[in-house]
This record gives sequence, C-alpha cells and structure tokens, in this order.
Amino acid sequence: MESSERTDVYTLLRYTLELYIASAWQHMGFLPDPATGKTHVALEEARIAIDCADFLAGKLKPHLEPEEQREYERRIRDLKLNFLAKQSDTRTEA
Amino acid sequence: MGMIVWARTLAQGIRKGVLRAQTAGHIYWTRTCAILRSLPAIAYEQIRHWRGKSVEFPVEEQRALLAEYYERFERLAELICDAAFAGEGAPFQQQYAEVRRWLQRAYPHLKPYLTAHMNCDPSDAEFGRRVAGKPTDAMEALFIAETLDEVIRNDQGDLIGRLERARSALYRYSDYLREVIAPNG
Repeated sequence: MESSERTDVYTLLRYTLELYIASAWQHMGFLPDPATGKTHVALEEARIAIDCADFLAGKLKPHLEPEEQREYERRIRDLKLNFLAKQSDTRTEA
Repeated sequence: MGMIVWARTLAQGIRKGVLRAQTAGHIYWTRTCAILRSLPAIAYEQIRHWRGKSVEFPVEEQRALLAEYYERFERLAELICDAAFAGEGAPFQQQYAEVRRWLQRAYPHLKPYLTAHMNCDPSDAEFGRRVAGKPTDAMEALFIAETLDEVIRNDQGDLIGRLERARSALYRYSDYLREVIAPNG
C-alpha cells in the first residue's frame, strides 16, 4: 500500500537538522549517547555536526516563518557558544 | 628684473597669507557657531543639576533605545560567535564594523543606566586596556576592538562569559524598566 503524501525535501531537511543538533549536544557531552546511555566529549565531531546544522539551517531559512528562523538561529548560536566554552575549558584543563 | 621677481614673490606671499587667514577664520567661525548652538542645551542641563533635578531621559525613551540596542547586540553576539567558531574574523568584518559603529554611538546613552545591572569581572577591564589602552566594562569590551580578528586574537578564554555578562545586564535592565513602567503588572 502506497502513501498518498510525498515527503518534501524541507521536511527531510528539518528532520536531518534536528539529528545534527542532537548529535552536536551529545558530542559536547551535554546529552548521553542513546546507544550507550553514557556521555562523552568529542569536540571535533561536535564541530562537524554544528557546521552541518548551520549549513542545513541556511538552506531551510528562506522557507521558514520569521519566528521560526529566529528560533533556529538561536539554537545554532547556543550550540556554537557552548562549543566555544567547552573548547576553552578543555584548553584550560590541558 | 630682480625687482619684478621680488614683487611677484611678495604678491604670492600676500595671497597665500590671505587664503590661510580665510581658512582659519572659517574654521573658527564654524567652531564658534557649534558652541553657540549647543550652549542652550548645556546651560539647561546645568540648571537642572544645580536645582538637584535629574537629567535622565524618560523611561519610555530608555525602553525604546534598549529594544533597538538589544537587537544590535544580538547581531554583534552572533557575529562574534560565528567568527570565533570559524576561527577568523575577516568574512564578518564588514557587518561587525557597521554594528560596532551603531553601538559605539548608542552605548554612552545607555551606560549610566546599564552599569547598575552589570556584573563586573577584572578580565573585561583588562581586555580594554590590552586592546585600546583604556579599561572597559563587559559590554564595551565586546566592541572596543576595531576588527573582529582582534576580538578573537585577544581572547583569553573570557569571551563567552563576557557575552553572558553583557546579555544578563540587558535582561536585568529590561526587567527593571518593565517594573518601573508597570510596578503591579
């Protein structure tokens, strides 16, 4: 049985974007990895996840309401700020 | 022959002197006009001070300025954040320069009120001294540097905390103004 509704690329973008955002929080050690249930810090991976999220948000932006645009901008900025703070902590510890 | 040359040199000297005098006269006239124009406002403020009245601008105007300031501040925070994440300021420099120009003009009006709501940290003053040769508060330290590259290069791990201190001060000041306008609401 075939579904009558097709999945447009913007829905797919939103879905992927959420995955990258969640992945970035996980790699910064703020959320446990769902597979292991444990937290870990992998900043280089977090950076890639944030970069990808930023790129996808940029593609999605023209198709969002202004309020939603601001919300995504805020979320990406939070990620970057936390990444920088985490990076700074790591350097201090080292 | 010698007489003619001497006379011509003298005439040129006189012409130059007249031109210099005219330019100097024009500059002094412009300055005097500017001082005269600003006198009534200064005198008015002085009189209010002598009478013990405040020279503060009305709460509604403070709120309007704060709202606009907050938007620009968020833009600045975003630029700093993007540049720090990218590790270079050059791609964002033009936007930074525009936001910085606006903030530099507006901040002196806001500073006397915002200072009361700002948490102090020695690193903020130190940053200003290092970059511009004068101490700064958390807010000023974010746009004291001429280039975004300087902001990132001179960061010693305090940048995120500084952004948070400046943002918190804006939030607290905004809450305070809301209380002043509608104490029961």
